[in-house]
Amino acid sequence: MNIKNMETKEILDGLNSIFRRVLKKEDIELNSETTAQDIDEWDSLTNMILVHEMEKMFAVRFTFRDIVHLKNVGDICNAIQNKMK
Amino acid sequence: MTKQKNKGMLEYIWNAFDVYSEHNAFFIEGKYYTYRQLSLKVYGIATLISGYQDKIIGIVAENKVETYASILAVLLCGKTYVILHPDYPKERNENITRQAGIKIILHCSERVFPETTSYIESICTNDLQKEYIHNITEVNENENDYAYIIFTSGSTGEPKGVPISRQNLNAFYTAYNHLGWEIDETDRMLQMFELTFDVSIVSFLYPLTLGACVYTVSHEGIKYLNIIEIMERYKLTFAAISPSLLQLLLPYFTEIYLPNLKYLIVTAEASNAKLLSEFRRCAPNATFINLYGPTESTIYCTAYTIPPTGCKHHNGMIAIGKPFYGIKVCLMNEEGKPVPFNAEQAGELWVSGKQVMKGYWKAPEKSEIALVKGLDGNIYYKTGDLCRIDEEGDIIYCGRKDYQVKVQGFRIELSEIEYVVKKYFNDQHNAVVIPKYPEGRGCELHLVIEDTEFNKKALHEYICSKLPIYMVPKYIHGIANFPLNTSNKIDRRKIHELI
Repeated sequence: MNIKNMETKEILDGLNSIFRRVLKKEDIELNSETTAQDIDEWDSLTNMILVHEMEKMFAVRFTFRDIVHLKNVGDICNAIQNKMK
Repeated sequence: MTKQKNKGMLEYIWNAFDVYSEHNAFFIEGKYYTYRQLSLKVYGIATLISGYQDKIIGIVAENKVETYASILAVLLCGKTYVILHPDYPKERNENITRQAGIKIILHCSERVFPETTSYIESICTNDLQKEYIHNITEVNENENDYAYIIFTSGSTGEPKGVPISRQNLNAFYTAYNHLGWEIDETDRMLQMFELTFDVSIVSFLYPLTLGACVYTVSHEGIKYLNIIEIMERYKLTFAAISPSLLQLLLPYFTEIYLPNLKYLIVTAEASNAKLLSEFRRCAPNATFINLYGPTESTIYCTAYTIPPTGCKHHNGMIAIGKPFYGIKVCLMNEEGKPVPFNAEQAGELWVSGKQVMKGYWKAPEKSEIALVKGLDGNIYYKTGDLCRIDEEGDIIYCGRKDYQVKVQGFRIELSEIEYVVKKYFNDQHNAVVIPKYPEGRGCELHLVIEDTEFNKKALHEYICSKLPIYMVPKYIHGIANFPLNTSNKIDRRKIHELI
């Protein structure tokens, strides 16, 4: 596994822990295709919390433009990766 | 054959079908629909439902052009629509269906009941066959017929039906026009509300009277992001939104720029003066208007144009302004005596006029409590909202009557405590005060903050420094995110259950 893939997996693990904690749902298993449609609890309100938690965990800052373009978990991973570079 | 016998809101929509046939009427899920396309769907559904004797038609709320066409078709046929929501619990939809006596439900893709029962016919409007597509050549409208019934939460948990007649709706339309909007067929207007909430009705019916285009918001993805994306990308010129939306966007105000917006309407709940003031730089060319009204008086019945400076408010809640054309208001105290205008004391706002419903659906005892004869002999609806009226005749909203409690004999307005707390957080966090009545201990106040990482001790000390001790909440809780009801208002009942 190359470094990029390892990073993606680590980010995904981190996102899983955030989503499970914030949405209070232990069985959440995210993949790059997961969208808000797939998880009932992922809505306008919880999205704010999720973004805030991601910013804290990965020490990144999302702009509003970033957030608008995050259509699925894959987009989130890529955005975090790019911002951490 | 003439197309319309009575002048009213529908007449203008009916005319727009012809006059603006090639204009876009709707933008839904990335696709435009012209007035011609919309009218064909309306005619098709109207032809179909005209064949049924049933007066009341259930419609499943979906973000589809067929859903909007179904509403228009029902109105065109002189029938009454009731919205059922796929996200509502099955029991609630069943209760509404039973109360309204619904036998026919129109839907596109989502059924509200898993199987069509023997007594309810579920019709998919996507499946309309070509032979149904005929021109309906007249609007069937009787002033006393109901246009729609909205079921709101009743205090007993049983949904309460608010029937709005054609006369109510047309009186609203006349009054709404009197506000002097400078908008026409070239405008692009937002419809962000659930169809179960009456503000949605004006958000799509009014643009259709003008030949303008209605932009609806996708249920897919994150709603508040979808709204701003649509407003920016499609350069919307008119938007009615709930203040909760702005609260969510607050951290990103510096990145939002909506120069095309001509009007920003805030509605559905008390608007925060500071929040609106901060949003002004995002929409520098927009006139900001606060529109207020209970469902019982047809959508809105007062308006306040929010000035860039010197906004009138009470505890940060923006004034609701002057009554609509044709609406009479008075303020009454608990003894049913009038509160003089410009008095310090707030009174309950009573409203009267052709917009006000005649009574709740099949609930004469509830109607008797809510609708009373005023001193001038007119029937008034008791809104349950506490207000003052200032020397310029502007109505200042002071909070819900239900939010007024007595602690140790002192009358307390919960909004006043909330105002102080929000100040502590520099308006960055929502706060609600929930009264609880444990047995034998009288009223106890619970302060709930929409945040989990704050210093409770410091907050408590701050409140003690600002408010008399009887107003200081006994308990302080933190919740990461406040639940909202389907009308996008903070759901205090649910918060009460959570703490």
